Amino acid sequence: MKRTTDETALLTRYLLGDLSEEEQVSLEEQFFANDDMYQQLTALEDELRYDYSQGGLTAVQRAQFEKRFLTTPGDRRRVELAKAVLAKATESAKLNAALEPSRPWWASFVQFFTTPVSLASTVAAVSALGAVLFFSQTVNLRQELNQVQSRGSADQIALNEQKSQGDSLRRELQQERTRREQLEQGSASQKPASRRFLVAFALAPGLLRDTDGPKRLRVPAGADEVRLQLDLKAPVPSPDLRASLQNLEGQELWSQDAKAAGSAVTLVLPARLLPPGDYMVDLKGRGATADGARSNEYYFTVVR
Amino acid sequence: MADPGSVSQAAFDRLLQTLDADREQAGLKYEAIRQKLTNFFRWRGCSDPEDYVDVTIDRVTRRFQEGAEVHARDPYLYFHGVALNVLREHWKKVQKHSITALDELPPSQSPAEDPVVQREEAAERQTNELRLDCLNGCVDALPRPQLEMLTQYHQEKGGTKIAQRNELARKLDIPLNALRIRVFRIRGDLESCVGTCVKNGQR
Repeated sequence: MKRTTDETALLTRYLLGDLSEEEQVSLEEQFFANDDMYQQLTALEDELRYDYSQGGLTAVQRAQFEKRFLTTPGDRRRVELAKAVLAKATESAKLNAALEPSRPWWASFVQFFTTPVSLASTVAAVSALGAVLFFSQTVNLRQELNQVQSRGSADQIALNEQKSQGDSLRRELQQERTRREQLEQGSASQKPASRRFLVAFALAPGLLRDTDGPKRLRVPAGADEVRLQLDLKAPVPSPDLRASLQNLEGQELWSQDAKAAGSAVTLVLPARLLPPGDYMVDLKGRGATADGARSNEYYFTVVR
Repeated sequence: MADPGSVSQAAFDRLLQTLDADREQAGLKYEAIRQKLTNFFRWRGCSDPEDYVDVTIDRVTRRFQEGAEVHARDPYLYFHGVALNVLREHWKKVQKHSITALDELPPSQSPAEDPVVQREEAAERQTNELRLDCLNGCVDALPRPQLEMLTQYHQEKGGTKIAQRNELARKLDIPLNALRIRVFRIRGDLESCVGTCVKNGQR
């Protein structure tokens, strides 16, 4: 990081005309032969304009910047635009942060039903969502029952509690099954569950993993479901999480409670919800406020 | 500004051939060189960089026409060498005639009233309101992660700013250089969005 900072200082001095002729020529030879360095210089020049517009340069740097980069009306317009862009962006970011915690629960609900999608795709999506819930709860139920059975008679009280939980889950499962059957009746094109085509990907948290941008997931045209394994960067205080799929406009497309297993969380989404585009999955503690909880964000791009 | 005499198509073709055997790739490399030369002259304080770029490319092409071989380890460096000569000649001319272009003066030394500038500023005021509307729309349309990246990157000043940017790069698990390029593109997209919106609004 220190090397990068030193390099930044050197490039800044070059742009502001603060290097010896020998140093300038040496640096120019590098950027003529090296596109990465040239890109850094052009980005840094633009950054200087934004820093200048914020009053972020030293007095000497300001004078050097004005002499070199503020000589025409066009230059002055660009600095004014930089100032306006940052002012508006800061205002918007603050507004977003202020609005986020007070967003009522029903907003997502209303948004879901006001999102313009066709009836057929809505039915299919809800149906597939039902299938996901069914699958997820079946797995959970099996795990619970296995645990209960393995404890044997030595812990009868715990067994009873587990059985009670198992009964409750079984009832929920039955309800889900009924709901799913109803939905399937309304969707003639639905494939049988046994023939579902599922593709799986693993994602790491963070905006970007490299300079090429978010991870690209190639989802085949015939895929019914997409399984995402979300790696957790750090242990979570509680395994009970809430996953929210959003587009990059921040619009929630789908959400579901999820459970951390070890250092990962697995989600199964209907592939129909993922046409080509950029997405983000927000994973945070269930019931936590937006600003009070550390959330993991997973960015990815779907290509078909 | 351009040097006297003209360069032949054959010489230009040879120049392209030196850059890349594939004609299309050679064209792309040629454009990249033009862009680098333009910024080179601009960063060295020339007010009309495009003119100096033309002179540089003419000279390089003519040397090819005269049968010169490029001995530089990289043809880009050959262009840089010629561009340095053009730049030195420019400085000599400036010193000889004590020329300081008006647009090379810092704002504090610029003439108080320039009719061209005044006309431009009047037109500018008329489009300010439109520009503000466009800016609001473009920032509102910016995906939230990008908005946050932009504001966090430009949040602080001085030493705190450097620390903040390093911390942001660490959080995103990318090098600082990659973060800088990413934020540069976000700013560029926003400015392009505003420019296009203003242009469409003026039609």
